[in-house]
Amino acid sequence: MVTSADIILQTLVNGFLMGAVYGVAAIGLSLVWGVLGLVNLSHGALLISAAYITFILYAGLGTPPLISAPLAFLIGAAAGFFFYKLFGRRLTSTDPSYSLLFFFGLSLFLTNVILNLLGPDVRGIPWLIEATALGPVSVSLSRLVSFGLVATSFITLYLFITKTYHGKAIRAVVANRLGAVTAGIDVQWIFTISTSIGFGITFFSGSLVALVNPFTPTSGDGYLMYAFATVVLGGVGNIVGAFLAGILLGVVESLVGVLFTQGVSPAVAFITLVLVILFRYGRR
Amino acid sequence: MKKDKTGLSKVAIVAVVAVVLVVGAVAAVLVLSQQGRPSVAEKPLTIGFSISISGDFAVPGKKQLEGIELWRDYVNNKGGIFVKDENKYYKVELKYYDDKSSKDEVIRLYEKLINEDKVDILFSPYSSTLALTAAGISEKYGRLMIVVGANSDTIFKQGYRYIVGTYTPASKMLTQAIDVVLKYKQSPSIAIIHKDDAFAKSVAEGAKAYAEQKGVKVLAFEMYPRDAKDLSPILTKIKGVKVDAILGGGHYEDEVLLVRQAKELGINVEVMALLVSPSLPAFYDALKETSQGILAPSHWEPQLKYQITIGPSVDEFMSSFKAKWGSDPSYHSAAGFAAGLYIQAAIEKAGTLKNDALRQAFNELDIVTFYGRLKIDPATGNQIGHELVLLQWQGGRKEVVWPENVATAKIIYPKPSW
Repeated sequence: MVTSADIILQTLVNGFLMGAVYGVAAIGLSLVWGVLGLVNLSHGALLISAAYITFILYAGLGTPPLISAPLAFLIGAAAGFFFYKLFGRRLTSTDPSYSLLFFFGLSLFLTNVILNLLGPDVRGIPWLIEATALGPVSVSLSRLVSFGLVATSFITLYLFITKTYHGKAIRAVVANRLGAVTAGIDVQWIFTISTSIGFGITFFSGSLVALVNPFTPTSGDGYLMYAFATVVLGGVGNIVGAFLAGILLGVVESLVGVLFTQGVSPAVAFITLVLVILFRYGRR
Repeated sequence: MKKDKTGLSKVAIVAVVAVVLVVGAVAAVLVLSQQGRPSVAEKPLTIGFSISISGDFAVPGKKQLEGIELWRDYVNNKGGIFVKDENKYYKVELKYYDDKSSKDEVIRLYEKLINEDKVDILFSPYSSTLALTAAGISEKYGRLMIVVGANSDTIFKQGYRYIVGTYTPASKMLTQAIDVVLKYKQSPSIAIIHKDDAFAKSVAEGAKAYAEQKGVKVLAFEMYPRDAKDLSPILTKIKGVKVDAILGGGHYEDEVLLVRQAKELGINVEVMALLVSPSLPAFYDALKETSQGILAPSHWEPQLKYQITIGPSVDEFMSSFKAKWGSDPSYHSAAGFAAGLYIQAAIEKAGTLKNDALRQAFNELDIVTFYGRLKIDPATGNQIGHELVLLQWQGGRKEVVWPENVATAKIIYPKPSW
């Protein structure tokens, strides 16, 4: 076992950078879940769709992910808007098992559309596969760029949620839907913009995934799993919580992988999840 | 000269007898040869299998099927397979179903192939998981099965008596990479890392055993989870131990990630050999120049020219494949075709379609097809004759670099620093 200080420092940096991506990738799931009460099982497939959009923009037009990430946000936001207009009202007013089935079906549909249009091959963006040395630590440039984008988007979102009327209204709906209605908040409109922002940030994170990791049409399932753990860890509908939980998950996974073996890191991540649920929700 | 009556008549008698004898002999030969000429059997020889036309294994599954179908055309155009005991030529008919890449379907379909369709011989489905399932059913009914598109050693460790392998076993897939390190480096040390699945595990364990037998130090032997999205933990660990080579991998996404993160963490090794992804063009597209010098095993490459003893030459195979399917064959297709040639050779050797006798015939069979040599271990049925080659990415091109006698380019050693 290697436990020199340099290695530990490297491990923490790796975990932090990956965790930031897990965090931002969970925000969309958390928002839609918290506000609309819908568990979006197609979250992973949506994220991978955006990764493919980023890949096509790069391979076809040479657009660097730095530009396609904000673009992906806009595409996702538009998709979210129309999605709510088309299906939202029906999904929120029926039995939750129907919406679960609906999203599961949507996930299969999206995955197979990608599979048939673009094939099963692994894709990746060979942009900025470089590193820079910060003292004894080697830092991936693509991960550094992705962290810059994560930080910018997170601060923007945080300011939106805490400072603007709509942001406050979203939090009000998460906290108490009936109360929000009685206070005169237009819940249908809040549902619409939440879905829009949720899909937008999911697409944005898909773009970042394409920047740092290779992917295949079926990669979405793995990201959905991480996003689930992150949302529950951070609290459903809690955006700051999701982001911090993502970082925690990344760091724990990294440390376990280096100090013990990576084979057990998913187990440790989920044990952490169980412990947090026990202590955080268990005493109510 | 004295000629009397009787003398004349003696000559005449001898002549008549001689003519009768000759005519009789000719007639007898004609009749006999007419009886001995082989006829074409009324019922064709049916080969049954399931193949993944949809689901996870659809892409390699279809490629394998295209190879098998091309072999059927090839053998039928030649008049079929000769079965000595029946003195008949058998045309080949394929009976197959889509198993949707599912184990449950495989069980149902192989039961159906044997009990309802009553096929003569089985081919395995694609992939080790599905082939292992089908092998259990082949054993249950004592029906011969040619295993193609699957090479996990587990399949051949069950004691099954009716299976015959065509792929080099998984446990041997990275041993050549160890040979490469040994050629260039005195007392080398290596790291083996693999994905958490049955196939990658067989490969890694086989490589480890071979390394230890050759006196190579295995300083790290690590596994990463199936859905890992970050391999920096495992690589950071390796960074701390300093090795000459990193061997392993598992599938597409994880292997590309492994290369990317090894570069990002500044881990330089002299040999990096991965299991499956480098044989695809998409590997280069996802990594570009970062792919330089990376090695991968391959079951077959079209550049390889073997001294064949049966079947078409590699050029004939390539052109007929392209003519029939409009695309280039992959190694899955080549192996599918070779599996057909293999059973063809066994039937011709055994002279019967009885499965026990055929399985026996395989024990003595040693053939070379355009796909390479085929010979099994009599006890297990596992393939021991077929050999792999190592590919290397060199300036955006995939070259065969090992073994050196079949290489299309000289190996780049050591792998250039990132």
